[in-house]
Amino acid sequence: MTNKFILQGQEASDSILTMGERGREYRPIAQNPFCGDSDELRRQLNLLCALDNDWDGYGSPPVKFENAELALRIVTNLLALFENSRPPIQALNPGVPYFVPVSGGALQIEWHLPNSKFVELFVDGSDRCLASFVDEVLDEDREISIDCSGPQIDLNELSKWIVEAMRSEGQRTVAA
Amino acid sequence: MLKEYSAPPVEKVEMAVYFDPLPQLDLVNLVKVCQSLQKKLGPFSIHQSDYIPTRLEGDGPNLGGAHFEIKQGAPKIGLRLTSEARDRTVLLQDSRLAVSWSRVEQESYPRYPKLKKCFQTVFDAFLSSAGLTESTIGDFKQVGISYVNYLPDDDAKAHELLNFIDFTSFKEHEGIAMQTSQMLQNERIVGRLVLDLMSIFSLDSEENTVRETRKLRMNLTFRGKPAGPGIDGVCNFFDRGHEAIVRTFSDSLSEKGRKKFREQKRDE
Amino acid sequence: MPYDDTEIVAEDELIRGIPASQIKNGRVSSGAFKSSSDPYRGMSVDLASLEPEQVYPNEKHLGAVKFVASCPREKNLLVGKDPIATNHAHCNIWRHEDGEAKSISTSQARHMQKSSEWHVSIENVRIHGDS
Repeated sequence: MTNKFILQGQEASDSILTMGERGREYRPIAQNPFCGDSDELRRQLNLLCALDNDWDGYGSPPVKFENAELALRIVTNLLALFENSRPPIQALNPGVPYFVPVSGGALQIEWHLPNSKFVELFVDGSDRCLASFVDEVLDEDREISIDCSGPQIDLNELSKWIVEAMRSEGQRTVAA
Repeated sequence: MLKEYSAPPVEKVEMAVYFDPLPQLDLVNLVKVCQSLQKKLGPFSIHQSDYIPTRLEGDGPNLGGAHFEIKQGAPKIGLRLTSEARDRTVLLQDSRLAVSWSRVEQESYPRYPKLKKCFQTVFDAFLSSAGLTESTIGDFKQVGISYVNYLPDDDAKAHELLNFIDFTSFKEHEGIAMQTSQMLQNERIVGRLVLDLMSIFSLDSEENTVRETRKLRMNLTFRGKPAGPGIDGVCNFFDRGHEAIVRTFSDSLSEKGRKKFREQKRDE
Repeated sequence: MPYDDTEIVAEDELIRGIPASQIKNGRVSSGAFKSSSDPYRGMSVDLASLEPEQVYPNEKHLGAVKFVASCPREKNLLVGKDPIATNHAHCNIWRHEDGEAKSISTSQARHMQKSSEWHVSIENVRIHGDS
């Protein structure tokens, strides 16, 4: 449903500048978040690959390069999915995740989403990485394994989780 | 006569003008201009945009027949106005004004005349909000019009909608990435038309959830320096660009593509 | 080699140091309760009853969390002593299923995280949502 809007007292009914439904505060949309984020992702991942040996105090090596490389591939593909989508879904782009080094050279990708929801990916050098969705309010978690051995990674389930969590934020805002 | 399509795959149209950086459009003033535009245009929300690299093609030395000089400007901060329905955005920088339409759901494409009129409306509102005149802005360094088309590609056969890709020896192809361009000229160089094809994945709404789908993105962009001065020169450039883009799109379609996008003669 | 040590009783406290890189957004990441699966690498902890030399905070850890040994076992994880030259109280928590070492799952890591409390707390950092 669209509403007309008034352009300095003049009714712009024939303009494409018609408004959508009101009542929702939207998240910022960046011009080209994918480009900007890509540099930030590389910077963060390079830091993890450059950690000192025994960074965790338990003798762990730094994050393995191949784990960081796979993480970069997964995250850039996922952010591109949102960026290539129509504006309502583009607006649910979760942005750059947190990267957490894990003892032994593995790496965890974490999106901290609204309402205590978390999407995490554990990348530890195997062909499959573990993805999980955690809802701390409902005390629920779901876990799937994603095949990362081929040229394309199926991110369908992961993006569904993110959309579900980000949409719940919109509903919460409207309700508030 | 330009062909018309009753089911065009247009996802986004952007029209933009670049001018010399205006010192009066620093970030503080840009915010004020955006707030003023909000009052004029309606409930648009304002967001700070990421730093945006500027790529300009201006008149340059004649290098082996190429009359364009490509300049990569320093990335600049910008402000973006987004309509509530998210179908329209206005991007403002100290040297750029860009107005775009994006398809939100399955609503119809508003067609070029309306988009051009919308650009003019925003441009006029921008001038009055910023206390500028066309003469303050001076020459437009570059003008561009861009159409982003999404060809559905779930079966990786979207290239069959086009008549210039033959994958006989690549039956199981993994994706397409190609770009080509040409300079358009009559008595002088008018602009450069760029065709960009790329296999992409995007998320489509499906009831309350989303589905990952494969598409072939076909960007057609026309950019260059307008021949005439002022907004009239800009609009003439858009007309020329629109014509070149539609003609190229039509010429690119196979019989299957013409049927898919429901080609018909323009009622003019 | 992963094994479950019967000398470690259910109430025995296990301590895990928390480095700065495993704190994100003001909370301890579940990644602090995981480890790479190659080859048997478990999640390192110290057995409190053996009075480990480690003092917190230290150069590597901003603080430390603790949980009882029954907690990982409830999620089918193995807990065993694995002393090393520099730490006689060192233990490991392993996930060993169907005859092979596996990465600790998110559900298992979250269980340990939720059951944890501060051994030495870190200012302005939560262990999990409720803490």
